[in-house]
Amino acid sequence: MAASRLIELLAKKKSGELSLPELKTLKELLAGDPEAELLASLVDDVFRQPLEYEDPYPVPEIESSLQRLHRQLQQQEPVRKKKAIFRLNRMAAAAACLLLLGGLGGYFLYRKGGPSLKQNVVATKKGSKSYILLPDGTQVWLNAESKVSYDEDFGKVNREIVLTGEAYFDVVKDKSRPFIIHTETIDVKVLGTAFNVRAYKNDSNTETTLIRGSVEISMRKDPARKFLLKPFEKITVRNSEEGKETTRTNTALYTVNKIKPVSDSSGSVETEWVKNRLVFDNERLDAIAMELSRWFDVEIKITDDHLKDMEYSGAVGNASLEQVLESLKLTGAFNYTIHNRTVTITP
Amino acid sequence: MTAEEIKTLTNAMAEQNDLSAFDRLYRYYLPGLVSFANSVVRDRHRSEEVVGDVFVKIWENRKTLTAIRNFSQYIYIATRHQALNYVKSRKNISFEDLGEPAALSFKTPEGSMITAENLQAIARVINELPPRCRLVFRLIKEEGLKYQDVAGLLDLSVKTVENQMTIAMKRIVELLEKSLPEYASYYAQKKMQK
Repeated sequence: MAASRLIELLAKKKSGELSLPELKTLKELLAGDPEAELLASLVDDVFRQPLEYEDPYPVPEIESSLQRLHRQLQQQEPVRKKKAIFRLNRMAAAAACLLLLGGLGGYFLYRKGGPSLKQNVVATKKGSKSYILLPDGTQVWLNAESKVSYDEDFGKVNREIVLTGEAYFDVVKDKSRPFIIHTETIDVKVLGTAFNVRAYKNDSNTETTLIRGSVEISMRKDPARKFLLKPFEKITVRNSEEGKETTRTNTALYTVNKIKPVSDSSGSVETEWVKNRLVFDNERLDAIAMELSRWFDVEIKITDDHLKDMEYSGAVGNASLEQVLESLKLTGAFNYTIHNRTVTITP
Repeated sequence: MTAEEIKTLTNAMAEQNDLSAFDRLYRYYLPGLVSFANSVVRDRHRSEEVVGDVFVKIWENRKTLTAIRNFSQYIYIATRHQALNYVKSRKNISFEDLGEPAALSFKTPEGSMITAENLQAIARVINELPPRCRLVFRLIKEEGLKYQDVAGLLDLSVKTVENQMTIAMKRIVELLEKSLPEYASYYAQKKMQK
């Protein structure tokens, strides 16, 4: 029986996984052993032979299914905007990195570069999420009311996309082609693999949370201004509002905070939405209302200004709007009514 | 089909809207993808629909195909997502518990000294492997996927994939060893010629 080390190395060789030192070891093993050498040649021969399914598809069956596909393709051809490529799947969400970004303005700024190129656009409505597999293998989970667009030559020279709203990215490493996410307020350059960016245009801040790897953030209005995030850090950048900039000097423009990792997973509060969990950590009721409105596609009115300032914490998974409101109601003194798609919160 | 042929076909789709390239890729990948999807979906007809949906999306997004480095890996990942998406209402889907993949066989050997009989014996050995092991072997040998890719597709660790591949190799080597004397003189000659 051939040595197990030889078998292991042959398996690696035929899988294209052999490292240089291993190749050297294999050559040494074969050089001293004519039988092993013969065996290796036979294995090469076996691997050159194509393996097919024993029970091949009947050709007419393949051809008729192809015909059906052709008809389907013709019907869909005129559609310019692509809908979500694949729907969000919770199982698939366990993986790597999260990026939440926003800002419609980013789109137009970015378009200056190549207005002639066609764009792929994936957008979600309120109340829905989506999953996109980009051509380079990068996975994107798109939260509600968000949009990702990229040129048709994405990946040829570089990898750039424009994001409005919120998305979680699991970026395939490729040092020669940096992955850049443009938003209205910031650009995020992905140096490693896992991060989370959030930037809704009606939110006051744009947030980027890094789970692992490294990302570089630069300000759109001041590109020399760069921040390198470390894992489990979050940078919050105030979105500029026309005419309001000078009056808000009391608030810092950027803050960098440590975030709390979720103990039982590789994520954080910021990335829980990918698993269909709503998590609030000392958040104001008006911010929660905005989140719920996107999540469930409802309009939420808070009649009392004092109520808006109340802060809530909590987490629910796969809950209905009623369940979320009921559990919030338990901790905070308010009442609510749901009429059609409008929720009214009263003291 | 070699990696270069596949690249030529995907480029033809992206740059010339070549529908016949699409057809060739479909015919080539259909059996493997349906078998793979079926390990999750457990319904041959539904699995074909899943693969059909994947191809429709491939065509819709054909302009982006030039950026794809490894089309086999891409289309298997896409099929995985589509299949999981299809069964998402069902709980506890696990790649641990794969459906029985279809049996494999070698074509009539071309340019090989290994006899048709011995190749058949090897195919039998491969078909006797546990379903997961056989799938790992096929994905690596036929689709040229890396350990890392297969690990991602099947929710396994890279180490497990390596172990499965080594097990398959061990069975093949065991079988080949029995027929070593038959081939000894041929390979000795071939070596002399070099």
